[in-house]
Amino acid sequence: MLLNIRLKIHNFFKKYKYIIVAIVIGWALIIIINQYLKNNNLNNELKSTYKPDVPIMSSQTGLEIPEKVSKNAEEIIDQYISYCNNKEYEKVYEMLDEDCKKDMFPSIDSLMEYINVAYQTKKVYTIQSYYNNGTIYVFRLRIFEDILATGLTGEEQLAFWNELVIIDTSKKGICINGYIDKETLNTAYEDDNLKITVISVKKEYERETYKIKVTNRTEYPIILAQPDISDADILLKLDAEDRKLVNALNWNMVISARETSEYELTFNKYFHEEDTSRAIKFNNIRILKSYPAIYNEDGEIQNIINTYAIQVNLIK
Amino acid sequence: MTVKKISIILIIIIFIVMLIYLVFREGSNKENITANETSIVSDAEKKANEEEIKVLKTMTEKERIKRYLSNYMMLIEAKQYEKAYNLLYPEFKQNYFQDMEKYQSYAEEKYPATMVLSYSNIERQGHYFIIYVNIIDPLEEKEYISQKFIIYENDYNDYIVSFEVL
Repeated sequence: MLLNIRLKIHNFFKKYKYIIVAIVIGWALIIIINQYLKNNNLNNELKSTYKPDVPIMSSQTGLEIPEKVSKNAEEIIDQYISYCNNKEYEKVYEMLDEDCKKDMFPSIDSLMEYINVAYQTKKVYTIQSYYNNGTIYVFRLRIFEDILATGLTGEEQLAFWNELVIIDTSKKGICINGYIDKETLNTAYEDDNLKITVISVKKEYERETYKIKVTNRTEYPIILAQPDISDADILLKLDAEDRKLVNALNWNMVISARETSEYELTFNKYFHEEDTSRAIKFNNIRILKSYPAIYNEDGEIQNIINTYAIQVNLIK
Repeated sequence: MTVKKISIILIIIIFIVMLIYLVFREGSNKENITANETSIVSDAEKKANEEEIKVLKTMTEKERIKRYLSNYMMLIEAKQYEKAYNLLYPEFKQNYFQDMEKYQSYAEEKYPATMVLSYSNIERQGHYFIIYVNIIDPLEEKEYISQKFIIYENDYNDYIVSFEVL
Protein backbone atom coordinates (compact mmCIF):
# COMPACT_ATOMS: atom_id res chain seq x y z
CA MET A 1 0.00 0.00 0.00
CA LEU A 2 2.84 2.33 0.85
CA LEU A 3 4.29 1.61 -2.54
CA ASN A 4 0.99 2.59 -4.16
CA ILE A 5 0.94 5.91 -2.32
CA ARG A 6 4.52 6.63 -3.29
CA LEU A 7 3.73 5.72 -6.87
CA LYS A 8 0.70 8.01 -6.88
CA ILE A 9 2.73 10.93 -5.48
CA HIS A 10 5.48 10.30 -8.00
CA ASN A 11 2.97 10.24 -10.86
CA PHE A 12 1.29 13.39 -9.55
CA PHE A 13 4.54 15.34 -9.53
CA LYS A 14 5.53 13.91 -12.89
CA LYS A 15 2.20 14.91 -14.41
CA TYR A 16 2.03 18.45 -12.93
CA LYS A 17 5.73 19.30 -12.53
CA TYR A 18 5.62 22.42 -14.70
CA ILE A 19 2.57 23.82 -12.95
CA ILE A 20 4.15 23.17 -9.55
CA VAL A 21 7.41 24.85 -10.60
CA ALA A 22 5.45 27.83 -11.92
CA ILE A 23 3.49 28.13 -8.64
CA VAL A 24 6.68 27.92 -6.54
CA ILE A 25 8.39 30.59 -8.66
CA GLY A 26 5.33 32.83 -8.52
CA TRP A 27 5.08 32.41 -4.75
CA ALA A 28 8.78 33.19 -4.31
CA LEU A 29 8.39 36.35 -6.40
CA ILE A 30 5.47 37.53 -4.27
CA ILE A 31 7.51 37.02 -1.09
CA ILE A 32 10.47 38.84 -2.59
CA ILE A 33 8.41 41.81 -3.77
CA ASN A 34 6.70 42.03 -0.40
CA GLN A 35 10.03 42.03 1.39
CA TYR A 36 11.35 44.65 -1.02
CA LEU A 37 8.43 46.92 -0.27
CA LYS A 38 8.90 46.46 3.50
CA ASN A 39 12.61 47.16 3.34
CA ASN A 40 12.27 50.23 1.20
CA ASN A 41 9.23 51.36 3.14
CA LEU A 42 7.39 52.89 0.21
CA ASN A 43 4.75 54.21 2.57
CA ASN A 44 6.79 57.24 3.59
CA GLU A 45 3.85 59.53 4.07
CA LEU A 46 4.18 61.83 7.07
CA LYS A 47 1.94 60.67 9.92
CA SER A 48 -0.11 63.68 10.87
CA THR A 49 -3.38 64.56 12.54
CA TYR A 50 -3.76 67.40 10.02
CA LYS A 51 -6.29 66.21 7.45
CA PRO A 52 -6.89 69.13 5.09
CA ASP A 53 -8.88 67.02 2.63
CA VAL A 54 -11.52 65.86 5.12
CA PRO A 55 -14.37 68.41 5.28
CA ILE A 56 -15.08 69.62 8.81
CA MET A 57 -18.79 70.17 8.22
CA SER A 58 -19.54 67.01 6.27
CA SER A 59 -22.18 64.58 7.45
CA GLN A 60 -20.04 61.77 6.05
CA THR A 61 -17.34 61.62 8.71
CA GLY A 62 -13.81 61.00 7.52
CA LEU A 63 -14.63 61.08 3.80
CA GLU A 64 -11.95 62.96 1.83
CA ILE A 65 -12.74 65.18 -1.11
CA PRO A 66 -11.47 63.78 -4.45
CA GLU A 67 -7.73 64.08 -4.90
CA LYS A 68 -8.06 65.87 -8.24
CA VAL A 69 -10.30 68.53 -6.68
CA SER A 70 -8.01 68.89 -3.67
CA LYS A 71 -4.84 69.28 -5.73
CA ASN A 72 -6.48 71.73 -8.12
CA ALA A 73 -7.88 73.77 -5.23
CA GLU A 74 -4.51 73.94 -3.49
CA GLU A 75 -2.86 75.25 -6.63
CA ILE A 76 -5.54 77.86 -7.24
CA ILE A 77 -5.58 79.05 -3.63
CA ASP A 78 -1.80 79.20 -3.50
CA GLN A 79 -1.86 81.37 -6.60
CA TYR A 80 -4.58 83.58 -5.11
CA ILE A 81 -2.60 84.21 -1.91
CA SER A 82 0.57 84.78 -3.87
CA TYR A 83 -1.11 87.40 -6.07
CA CYS A 84 -2.57 89.10 -2.98
CA ASN A 85 0.84 89.17 -1.29
CA ASN A 86 2.44 90.58 -4.43
CA LYS A 87 -0.39 93.14 -4.91
CA GLU A 88 -1.14 91.81 -8.41
CA TYR A 89 -4.68 93.18 -8.29
CA GLU A 90 -5.66 92.51 -11.89
CA LYS A 91 -4.64 88.89 -11.63
CA VAL A 92 -6.69 88.44 -8.47
CA TYR A 93 -9.64 90.12 -10.17
CA GLU A 94 -9.37 87.80 -13.14
CA MET A 95 -9.49 84.80 -10.84
CA LEU A 96 -12.86 85.78 -9.36
CA ASP A 97 -16.22 84.39 -10.40
CA GLU A 98 -18.36 86.92 -12.30
CA ASP A 99 -21.19 87.06 -9.74
CA CYS A 100 -18.68 87.39 -6.92
CA LYS A 101 -17.06 90.32 -8.72
CA LYS A 102 -20.40 92.07 -9.33
CA ASP A 103 -21.66 91.65 -5.78
CA MET A 104 -18.54 91.92 -3.66
CA PHE A 105 -16.09 93.96 -5.75
CA PRO A 106 -18.01 95.90 -8.41
CA SER A 107 -14.80 97.64 -9.43
CA ILE A 108 -11.16 96.67 -9.23
CA ASP A 109 -10.64 99.65 -6.89
CA SER A 110 -12.78 98.01 -4.21
CA LEU A 111 -10.71 94.85 -4.55
CA MET A 112 -7.50 96.87 -4.32
CA GLU A 113 -8.75 98.44 -1.12
CA TYR A 114 -9.52 95.04 0.35
CA ILE A 115 -6.12 93.59 -0.59
CA ASN A 116 -4.18 96.62 0.62
CA VAL A 117 -5.75 96.31 4.05
CA ALA A 118 -5.76 92.53 4.41
CA TYR A 119 -2.35 91.91 2.87
CA GLN A 120 -0.45 94.90 4.17
CA THR A 121 2.37 92.54 5.13
CA LYS A 122 3.20 89.15 3.68
CA LYS A 123 0.72 86.49 4.73
CA VAL A 124 0.85 82.72 4.88
CA TYR A 125 -2.08 80.38 5.29
CA THR A 126 -3.29 76.94 6.16
CA ILE A 127 -6.06 75.26 4.21
CA GLN A 128 -8.87 73.04 5.41
CA SER A 129 -11.70 71.52 3.43
CA TYR A 130 -14.84 72.83 5.11
CA TYR A 131 -17.93 71.61 3.29
CA ASN A 132 -18.96 70.35 -0.12
CA ASN A 133 -22.23 69.93 -1.92
CA GLY A 134 -22.36 68.68 -5.50
CA THR A 135 -19.84 70.67 -7.49
CA ILE A 136 -19.37 73.32 -4.78
CA TYR A 137 -16.34 72.94 -2.52
CA VAL A 138 -15.81 75.28 0.41
CA PHE A 139 -12.31 75.72 1.86
CA ARG A 140 -11.43 77.55 5.04
CA LEU A 141 -8.17 79.44 4.93
CA ARG A 142 -6.55 80.54 8.14
CA ILE A 143 -4.46 83.54 7.22
CA PHE A 144 -1.73 85.02 9.37
CA GLU A 145 1.63 86.75 9.32
CA ASP A 146 4.61 84.76 8.10
CA ILE A 147 5.45 83.52 11.56
CA LEU A 148 8.53 81.66 10.37
CA ALA A 149 9.96 84.98 9.22
CA THR A 150 9.08 86.82 12.43
CA GLY A 151 9.37 84.04 15.00
CA LEU A 152 6.34 85.72 16.62
CA THR A 153 8.80 88.27 17.99
CA GLY A 154 6.90 90.92 19.93
CA GLU A 155 3.59 89.03 19.68
CA GLU A 156 1.87 87.43 22.66
CA GLN A 157 0.12 84.89 20.47
CA LEU A 158 -0.80 84.19 16.90
CA ALA A 159 -3.35 86.54 15.34
CA PHE A 160 -5.23 85.18 12.33
CA TRP A 161 -8.44 85.50 10.39
CA ASN A 162 -10.50 82.92 8.56
CA GLU A 163 -11.52 83.29 4.96
CA LEU A 164 -13.87 80.98 3.10
CA VAL A 165 -12.93 80.35 -0.50
CA ILE A 166 -15.51 78.61 -2.65
CA ILE A 167 -14.67 76.67 -5.80
CA ASP A 168 -17.50 75.46 -8.01
CA THR A 169 -16.01 72.92 -10.39
CA SER A 170 -18.83 73.58 -12.89
CA LYS A 171 -17.85 77.24 -13.19
CA LYS A 172 -14.83 79.30 -14.01
CA GLY A 173 -13.49 81.49 -11.23
CA ILE A 174 -13.37 81.33 -7.45
CA CYS A 175 -15.43 83.09 -4.84
CA ILE A 176 -13.90 84.64 -1.74
CA ASN A 177 -15.16 86.00 1.58
CA GLY A 178 -17.73 83.22 1.80
CA TYR A 179 -19.64 84.23 -1.33
CA ILE A 180 -21.43 81.24 -2.91
CA ASP A 181 -23.57 82.47 -5.80
CA LYS A 182 -26.55 84.55 -6.89
CA GLU A 183 -29.87 83.14 -8.05
CA THR A 184 -32.71 84.88 -9.85
CA LEU A 185 -36.06 83.99 -8.28
CA ASN A 186 -38.80 86.36 -9.57
CA THR A 187 -41.47 84.93 -7.30
CA ALA A 188 -44.25 87.22 -6.13
CA TYR A 189 -47.28 87.77 -3.97
CA GLU A 190 -49.94 90.29 -4.92
CA ASP A 191 -53.31 91.45 -3.78
CA ASP A 192 -55.35 94.66 -4.15
CA ASN A 193 -53.11 96.51 -1.68
CA LEU A 194 -49.61 95.57 -2.71
CA LYS A 195 -47.32 93.42 -4.78
CA ILE A 196 -44.12 92.01 -3.32
CA THR A 197 -41.61 90.45 -5.73
CA VAL A 198 -38.56 88.52 -4.58
CA ILE A 199 -36.15 89.34 -7.40
CA SER A 200 -33.04 87.40 -6.41
CA VAL A 201 -31.08 85.85 -3.59
CA LYS A 202 -27.38 86.31 -2.89
CA LYS A 203 -26.02 83.30 -1.04
CA GLU A 204 -23.02 83.53 1.21
CA TYR A 205 -21.80 80.74 3.46
CA GLU A 206 -23.32 82.27 6.59
CA ARG A 207 -26.30 84.18 5.20
CA GLU A 208 -28.82 84.72 2.45
CA THR A 209 -29.76 88.19 1.18
CA TYR A 210 -33.02 88.61 -0.71
CA LYS A 211 -33.58 91.56 -2.99
CA ILE A 212 -37.29 92.46 -2.96
CA LYS A 213 -39.43 95.02 -4.73
CA VAL A 214 -42.59 96.29 -3.02
CA THR A 215 -45.31 98.18 -4.90
CA ASN A 216 -48.00 99.98 -2.92
CA ARG A 217 -51.25 99.90 -4.92
CA THR A 218 -53.26 101.95 -2.42
CA GLU A 219 -53.75 105.63 -1.66
CA TYR A 220 -52.36 105.08 1.81
CA PRO A 221 -48.93 104.46 3.37
CA ILE A 222 -48.08 100.81 4.09
CA ILE A 223 -45.71 99.75 6.88
CA LEU A 224 -43.92 96.40 6.58
CA ALA A 225 -41.53 96.90 9.51
CA GLN A 226 -40.79 99.59 12.07
CA PRO A 227 -37.74 100.08 14.31
CA ASP A 228 -37.88 98.99 17.93
CA ILE A 229 -41.42 97.62 17.63
CA SER A 230 -41.03 93.97 16.78
CA ASP A 231 -38.24 91.74 15.47
CA ALA A 232 -40.70 89.21 14.02
CA ASP A 233 -42.45 91.37 11.40
CA ILE A 234 -40.41 89.78 8.62
CA LEU A 235 -39.22 86.18 8.83
CA LEU A 236 -37.55 83.64 6.57
CA LYS A 237 -39.54 80.44 6.62
CA LEU A 238 -37.40 77.27 6.59
CA ASP A 239 -38.56 73.66 6.75
CA ALA A 240 -38.24 73.41 10.52
CA GLU A 241 -38.23 77.00 11.78
CA ASP A 242 -38.58 80.69 11.04
CA ARG A 243 -35.49 82.91 10.96
CA LYS A 244 -35.44 86.57 11.93
CA LEU A 245 -34.09 89.36 9.81
CA VAL A 246 -30.54 90.48 10.64
CA ASN A 247 -30.79 93.76 12.61
CA ALA A 248 -34.57 93.30 12.65
CA LEU A 249 -35.17 96.09 15.14
CA ASN A 250 -33.37 98.67 12.99
CA TRP A 251 -35.64 98.30 9.98
CA ASN A 252 -38.01 101.07 8.91
CA MET A 253 -39.93 99.82 5.87
CA VAL A 254 -42.61 102.31 4.92
CA ILE A 255 -43.89 102.54 1.35
CA SER A 256 -45.75 105.68 0.38
CA ALA A 257 -48.98 105.62 -1.62
CA ARG A 258 -48.61 104.34 -5.19
CA GLU A 259 -44.85 104.02 -4.80
CA THR A 260 -42.39 101.21 -5.37
CA SER A 261 -39.36 100.57 -3.21
CA GLU A 262 -36.59 97.98 -3.21
CA TYR A 263 -34.98 96.41 -0.16
CA GLU A 264 -32.31 93.86 0.64
CA LEU A 265 -33.30 91.51 3.44
CA THR A 266 -30.53 89.47 5.08
CA PHE A 267 -31.13 86.35 7.13
CA ASN A 268 -28.55 84.20 8.91
CA LYS A 269 -28.49 80.80 7.24
CA TYR A 270 -25.50 78.52 6.84
CA PHE A 271 -24.89 76.93 3.47
CA HIS A 272 -24.39 73.53 5.14
CA GLU A 273 -27.85 73.61 6.75
CA GLU A 274 -30.13 71.03 5.24
CA ASP A 275 -33.27 73.13 5.76
CA THR A 276 -34.55 74.79 2.58
CA SER A 277 -35.67 78.42 2.48
CA ARG A 278 -39.35 78.20 1.54
CA ALA A 279 -40.84 81.68 1.87
CA ILE A 280 -40.51 85.18 3.31
CA LYS A 281 -43.25 85.98 5.78
CA PHE A 282 -44.55 89.50 6.30
CA ASN A 283 -46.42 89.11 9.57
CA ASN A 284 -47.56 92.62 10.24
CA ILE A 285 -48.55 94.58 7.13
CA ARG A 286 -50.22 97.78 8.29
CA ILE A 287 -52.18 100.10 6.02
CA LEU A 288 -52.52 103.51 7.66
CA LYS A 289 -54.77 106.48 6.98
CA SER A 290 -51.70 108.66 7.26
CA TYR A 291 -48.09 108.44 8.28
CA PRO A 292 -46.74 108.40 11.00
CA ALA A 293 -48.78 105.97 13.05
CA ILE A 294 -50.68 107.43 16.00
CA TYR A 295 -50.57 105.27 19.12
CA ASN A 296 -53.02 105.25 22.04
CA GLU A 297 -52.07 104.71 25.66
CA ASP A 298 -52.13 100.95 25.18
CA GLY A 299 -49.63 101.11 22.32
CA GLU A 300 -52.21 100.31 19.63
CA ILE A 301 -52.27 102.22 16.36
CA GLN A 302 -55.31 104.45 16.14
CA ASN A 303 -55.13 105.53 12.49
CA ILE A 304 -54.95 102.05 11.03
CA ILE A 305 -57.15 100.92 8.13
CA ASN A 306 -56.14 97.28 7.94
CA THR A 307 -53.49 94.85 9.24
CA TYR A 308 -52.75 91.38 7.94
CA ALA A 309 -50.00 88.84 7.23
CA ILE A 310 -48.83 87.23 3.98
CA GLN A 311 -45.95 85.15 2.71
CA VAL A 312 -44.07 85.19 -0.56
CA ASN A 313 -42.99 81.74 -1.69
CA LEU A 314 -39.39 81.42 -2.83
CA ILE A 315 -39.87 78.26 -4.85
CA LYS A 316 -42.18 78.37 -7.88
CA MET B 1 13.93 16.37 -18.99
CA THR B 2 15.39 18.06 -22.05
CA VAL B 3 18.47 20.23 -21.90
CA LYS B 4 16.35 23.19 -22.95
CA LYS B 5 13.98 22.83 -20.04
CA ILE B 6 16.80 22.39 -17.56
CA SER B 7 18.45 25.55 -18.89
CA ILE B 8 15.25 27.53 -18.51
CA ILE B 9 14.81 26.38 -14.92
CA LEU B 10 18.44 27.18 -14.09
CA ILE B 11 18.10 30.68 -15.56
CA ILE B 12 14.98 31.30 -13.50
CA ILE B 13 16.71 30.09 -10.32
CA ILE B 14 19.73 32.34 -10.97
CA PHE B 15 17.38 35.26 -11.59
CA ILE B 16 15.58 34.68 -8.28
CA VAL B 17 18.84 34.37 -6.37
CA MET B 18 20.10 37.66 -7.86
CA LEU B 19 16.83 39.35 -6.99
CA ILE B 20 17.05 38.10 -3.40
CA TYR B 21 20.59 39.44 -3.16
CA LEU B 22 19.61 42.87 -4.47
CA VAL B 23 16.61 43.15 -2.15
CA PHE B 24 18.15 41.94 1.06
CA ARG B 25 21.59 43.47 0.89
CA GLU B 26 22.48 46.44 3.16
CA GLY B 27 22.50 50.01 1.82
CA SER B 28 25.47 50.89 -0.27
CA ASN B 29 28.64 51.47 1.66
CA LYS B 30 31.22 50.91 -0.94
CA GLU B 31 33.67 53.75 0.00
CA ASN B 32 37.28 52.70 0.02
CA ILE B 33 38.83 52.63 3.51
CA THR B 34 41.20 55.33 2.38
CA ALA B 35 38.36 57.68 1.32
CA ASN B 36 38.71 61.22 2.60
CA GLU B 37 37.19 62.36 5.87
CA THR B 38 34.37 64.36 4.24
CA SER B 39 32.87 61.36 2.46
CA ILE B 40 33.09 59.20 5.61
CA VAL B 41 31.42 61.99 7.68
CA SER B 42 28.63 62.46 5.15
CA ASP B 43 28.08 58.72 5.07
CA ALA B 44 27.87 58.64 8.85
CA GLU B 45 25.49 61.58 8.79
CA LYS B 46 23.40 59.87 6.17
CA LYS B 47 23.21 56.76 8.29
CA ALA B 48 22.42 58.81 11.41
CA ASN B 49 19.66 60.56 9.48
CA GLU B 50 18.19 57.22 8.39
CA GLU B 51 18.28 55.96 11.96
CA GLU B 52 16.67 59.16 13.18
CA ILE B 53 13.91 58.81 10.57
CA LYS B 54 13.25 55.24 11.72
CA VAL B 55 12.83 56.53 15.29
CA LEU B 56 10.64 59.46 14.19
CA LYS B 57 8.32 57.15 12.29
CA THR B 58 7.44 55.41 15.54
CA MET B 59 6.47 58.70 17.22
CA THR B 60 3.27 60.70 17.33
CA GLU B 61 3.26 64.10 15.71
CA LYS B 62 3.60 65.94 19.02
CA GLU B 63 6.51 63.75 20.07
CA ARG B 64 8.24 64.41 16.74
CA ILE B 65 7.94 68.18 17.08
CA LYS B 66 9.33 68.08 20.62
CA ARG B 67 12.18 65.95 19.38
CA TYR B 68 12.99 68.41 16.59
CA LEU B 69 13.13 71.25 19.07
CA SER B 70 15.15 69.19 21.48
CA ASN B 71 17.63 68.27 18.71
CA TYR B 72 17.90 71.91 17.70
CA MET B 73 18.64 73.01 21.29
CA MET B 74 21.15 70.19 21.69
CA LEU B 75 23.08 71.60 18.73
CA ILE B 76 23.30 74.93 20.55
CA GLU B 77 24.34 73.18 23.76
CA ALA B 78 27.04 71.33 21.83
CA LYS B 79 28.11 74.67 20.28
CA GLN B 80 27.36 73.34 16.77
CA TYR B 81 26.10 76.77 15.80
CA GLU B 82 26.50 76.31 12.07
CA LYS B 83 24.26 73.24 12.02
CA ALA B 84 21.71 75.02 14.19
CA TYR B 85 21.91 78.11 11.98
CA ASN B 86 21.27 76.03 8.88
CA LEU B 87 17.96 74.88 10.35
CA LEU B 88 16.64 78.42 10.56
CA TYR B 89 14.10 79.79 8.07
CA PRO B 90 15.98 81.89 5.47
CA GLU B 91 13.80 84.99 5.80
CA PHE B 92 14.08 84.79 9.57
CA LYS B 93 17.85 84.80 9.24
CA GLN B 94 17.66 87.82 6.94
CA ASN B 95 15.49 89.65 9.44
CA TYR B 96 17.44 88.93 12.61
CA PHE B 97 20.74 87.09 12.06
CA GLN B 98 22.29 88.05 8.77
CA ASP B 99 25.41 86.07 9.53
CA MET B 100 26.33 83.15 11.71
CA GLU B 101 28.46 85.23 14.04
CA LYS B 102 25.46 87.32 15.07
CA TYR B 103 23.50 84.16 15.69
CA GLN B 104 26.30 82.61 17.73
CA SER B 105 26.62 85.75 19.89
CA TYR B 106 22.89 85.69 20.51
CA ALA B 107 22.87 81.99 21.46
CA GLU B 108 25.88 82.37 23.78
CA GLU B 109 24.32 85.35 25.48
CA LYS B 110 20.77 84.04 25.81
CA TYR B 111 21.05 80.36 26.61
CA PRO B 112 22.69 78.62 29.57
CA ALA B 113 25.47 76.10 28.95
CA THR B 114 23.12 73.22 29.73
CA MET B 115 19.37 73.37 29.22
CA VAL B 116 16.22 71.52 30.14
CA LEU B 117 13.07 72.29 28.15
CA SER B 118 9.69 72.48 29.82
CA TYR B 119 6.77 72.73 27.38
CA SER B 120 3.87 74.90 28.50
CA ASN B 121 1.87 74.66 25.27
CA ILE B 122 2.02 73.43 21.69
CA GLU B 123 -0.31 75.04 19.20
CA ARG B 124 -0.78 73.86 15.68
CA GLN B 125 -1.86 75.66 12.52
CA GLY B 126 -1.69 73.26 9.59
CA HIS B 127 1.97 72.31 9.22
CA TYR B 128 3.10 75.12 11.56
CA PHE B 129 3.72 74.31 15.22
CA ILE B 130 4.06 77.04 17.81
CA ILE B 131 5.79 75.77 20.92
CA TYR B 132 5.76 77.73 24.16
CA VAL B 133 8.83 76.64 26.10
CA ASN B 134 10.42 77.42 29.44
CA ILE B 135 14.16 76.92 29.25
CA ILE B 136 15.54 75.85 32.59
CA ASP B 137 19.13 75.89 33.74
CA PRO B 138 19.40 72.61 35.68
CA LEU B 139 22.45 73.79 37.55
CA GLU B 140 20.64 76.86 38.85
CA GLU B 141 17.38 74.89 39.17
CA LYS B 142 15.36 77.85 38.03
CA GLU B 143 13.62 79.05 34.92
CA TYR B 144 16.06 80.79 32.67
CA ILE B 145 13.84 82.19 29.92
CA SER B 146 10.45 81.62 28.31
CA GLN B 147 10.47 81.60 24.56
CA LYS B 148 8.27 80.72 21.60
CA PHE B 149 9.57 78.50 18.81
CA ILE B 150 7.99 77.84 15.44
CA ILE B 151 8.65 74.57 13.66
CA TYR B 152 7.44 73.70 10.16
CA GLU B 153 7.70 70.03 9.30
CA ASN B 154 8.19 69.21 5.60
CA ASP B 155 8.88 65.55 6.10
CA TYR B 156 10.47 63.20 8.61
CA ASN B 157 13.57 64.92 10.01
CA ASP B 158 13.13 67.70 7.46
CA TYR B 159 12.04 70.82 9.29
CA ILE B 160 12.58 74.53 9.61
CA VAL B 161 12.97 76.45 12.85
CA SER B 162 12.23 79.99 13.85
CA PHE B 163 11.93 81.60 17.28
CA GLU B 164 10.90 84.65 19.22
CA VAL B 165 13.93 86.92 19.40
CA LEU B 166 14.18 88.12 22.99
